[in-house]
Amino acid sequence: MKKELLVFLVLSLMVFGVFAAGSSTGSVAADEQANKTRENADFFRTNEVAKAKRNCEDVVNRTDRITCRLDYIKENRRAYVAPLDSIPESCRNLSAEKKAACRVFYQKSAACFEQEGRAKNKCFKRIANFVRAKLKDENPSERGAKARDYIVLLLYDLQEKIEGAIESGKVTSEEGALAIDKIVAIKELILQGKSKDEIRPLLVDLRTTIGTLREDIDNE
Amino acid sequence: MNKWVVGGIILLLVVVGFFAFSMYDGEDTSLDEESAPATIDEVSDEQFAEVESSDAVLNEIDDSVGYLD
Repeated sequence: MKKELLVFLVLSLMVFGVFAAGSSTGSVAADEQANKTRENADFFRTNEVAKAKRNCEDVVNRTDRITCRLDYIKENRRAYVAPLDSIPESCRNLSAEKKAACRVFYQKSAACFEQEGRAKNKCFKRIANFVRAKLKDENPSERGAKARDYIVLLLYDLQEKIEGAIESGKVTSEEGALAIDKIVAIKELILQGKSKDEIRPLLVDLRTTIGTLREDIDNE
Repeated sequence: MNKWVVGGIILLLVVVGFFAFSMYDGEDTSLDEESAPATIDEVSDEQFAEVESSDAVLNEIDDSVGYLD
């Protein structure tokens, strides 16, 4: 009787072992299948994203290009990362030489947007070639050029905040496009070397536009 | 005799005053040179402003526009 019981137990264990191994293999196969499906979905999504971005960059009108990028942010709930070979919006109307420098300037500034508070401000000033913490303490002969670069970065920061608010659904892409279009127009004038008298009225207008979105932008 | 003493004292005061002024002036300049950083990385983070809210960014832009040519 004891012998029969022992044989039964050994057989039961063997059957259980085979079943467990089979189900485990099945689960690995199912995981592999799921991974493949996910990879395929990612591949197609990436291609669609690339296509959507390329379409935005090829739009002729500036306001439409901006709206296209913001619609992408609204629909995908993620930041719009322009294709590597694209020219930043405010650099597009510059001469070929200035355009290249402008592009490098934007690329260098990307790291600053990963920082916050004082570190971010210091990073902006480093990119704008500051030597001191305050613009008023900079060498007067170089202050104008440094101010231009610093203002462009501050405007870019404001633009990033608006895009963040669109991404989180607090600001509509239409409202955002209105503000960002004005920001880009001011950046273009600054990069073209226009005087403060030409820039100030546009800043007053921008402040009014931002005023209606302020709470949504700052609470983002 | 008194004239020479008074003249001597005045001359002494002028010379001492001149040296004191030039020493002070020199010290001030050297302090300025010492405090001038070679790069922004030598400046402490504490000296930079936190420009976070949209209002703060706009105010900083307004201030900076004043330095444009």
